[in-house]
Amino acid sequence: MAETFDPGREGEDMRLSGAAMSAAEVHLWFAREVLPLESVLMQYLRNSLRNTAEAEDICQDVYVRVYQAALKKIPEPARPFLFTVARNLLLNRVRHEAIVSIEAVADLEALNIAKDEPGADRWVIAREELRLLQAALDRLPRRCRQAVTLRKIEGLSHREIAQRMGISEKTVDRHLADGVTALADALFGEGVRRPR
Amino acid sequence: MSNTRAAEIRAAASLWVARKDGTNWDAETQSAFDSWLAQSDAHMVAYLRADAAWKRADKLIVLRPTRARRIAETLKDALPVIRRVAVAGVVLAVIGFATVDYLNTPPGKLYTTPVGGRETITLVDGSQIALNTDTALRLDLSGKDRKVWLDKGEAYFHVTHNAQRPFRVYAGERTVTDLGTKFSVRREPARFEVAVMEGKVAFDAGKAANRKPIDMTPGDVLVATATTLSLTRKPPRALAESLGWQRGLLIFDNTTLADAVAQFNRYNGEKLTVAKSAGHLPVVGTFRTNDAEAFARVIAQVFGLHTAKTGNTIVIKQ
Repeated sequence: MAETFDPGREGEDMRLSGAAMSAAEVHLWFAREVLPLESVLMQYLRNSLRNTAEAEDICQDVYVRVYQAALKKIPEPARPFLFTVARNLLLNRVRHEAIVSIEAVADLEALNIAKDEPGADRWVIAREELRLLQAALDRLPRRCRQAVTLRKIEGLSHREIAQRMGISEKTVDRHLADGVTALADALFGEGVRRPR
Repeated sequence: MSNTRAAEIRAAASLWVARKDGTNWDAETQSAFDSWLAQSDAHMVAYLRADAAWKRADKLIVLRPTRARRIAETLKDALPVIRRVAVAGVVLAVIGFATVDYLNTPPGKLYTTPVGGRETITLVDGSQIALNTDTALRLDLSGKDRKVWLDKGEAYFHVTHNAQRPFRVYAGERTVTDLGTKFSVRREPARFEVAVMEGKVAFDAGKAANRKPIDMTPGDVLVATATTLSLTRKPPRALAESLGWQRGLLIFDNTTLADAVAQFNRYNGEKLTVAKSAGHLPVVGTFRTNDAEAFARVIAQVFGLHTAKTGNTIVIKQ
């Protein structure tokens, strides 16, 4: 039993050997390394697309490809890989639809955003995160904000929230879902700004 | 934006996160969820994104009010109006309120707030005065001039200008005269500060100072001690942040940890102290004035420090 190979514990060695990752490990990696890059990625996509509404869709496509690649082997560092995928997707669109601003695509290296930045200060990130969350909470519609506040700040259960607000649990779920969307956009889409 | 492909999938993912967070998650729902996830990797990445955000939103718990405040609010919510009067003494002692002092001889009607309290007074002319923590202020509107004496603490003034009825704030020897404006005045035993947000005020250091009144314009911050006087200009954002207390917030933008701790101690009976070696760390963020404990917890987490509570003091150390 003590000699059994434990893929969870031996994750580091497995990565070196390039074997397939466990899905759970890929999920953790995705949340930790990829999602924080969303604001920079979105900025790059918006600069490169005439129709900025499409940026969200392409971002989603980039995520799917990065995720699929990671299931085979986690690409590290994540940042250059993510931007290479993004550029390839944009180049494909240039070939098919000619809607991409070509300088932006070609300038990826010059933009410097694809480089890995190990110095990114995680303290700054943690400090700014609360501010982003709070700002997003303040912007929510009233009932939605109330539901999120009762859940995340007051710590009530969905059932208690339903009673307190005089609505069904289904409606609580819907309010909270709107909250999830807004908080995710605030955390990842807006990203963490460095203080001046 | 909401009609993009990605937005639809994200909305669906958010709903799954919300349902999973709830009380009615059963085997049937689980299998519906599993098959939704299996439909496409786009569903999976959208779910990972929504789930990560919802987990990180746990941090919002630091905004939870302290227990004393919650009791006060619960009492206010729960009791009918008539009974509320009976507990008013309790509630007001907790959250702070204007009180009239009949015994003192100084002129004017007295308004005070306890440590951690906050109060806004609206005058008949529409002017507003917001009192910050641990503040005592007297008000006399009976004469030609509108007079305020700031005995201690900090107040923010939004004055409806009336050239016929000057609005003056007295703080010991010093006088601040409104010339149509929004400004704040803070008086501590050894330090006096005026900040102008809008319009104009005139500052008079008093007879002993033997100097002409100083005209101050928006952005000007004046700090006077017994022997020094300095006038600096701050950007609007910094001024707005310094007024966060009106919403019960302390807003720090690269404030040193030592200064942040000093600010918290103005608002709470429970005091914070910080080890000298950590005093220089830069703090960025928004915190509830009344929850020093949450502040200490977050700071410790962010900087990898430790907290220890002894009696009424929380020590932040390395």
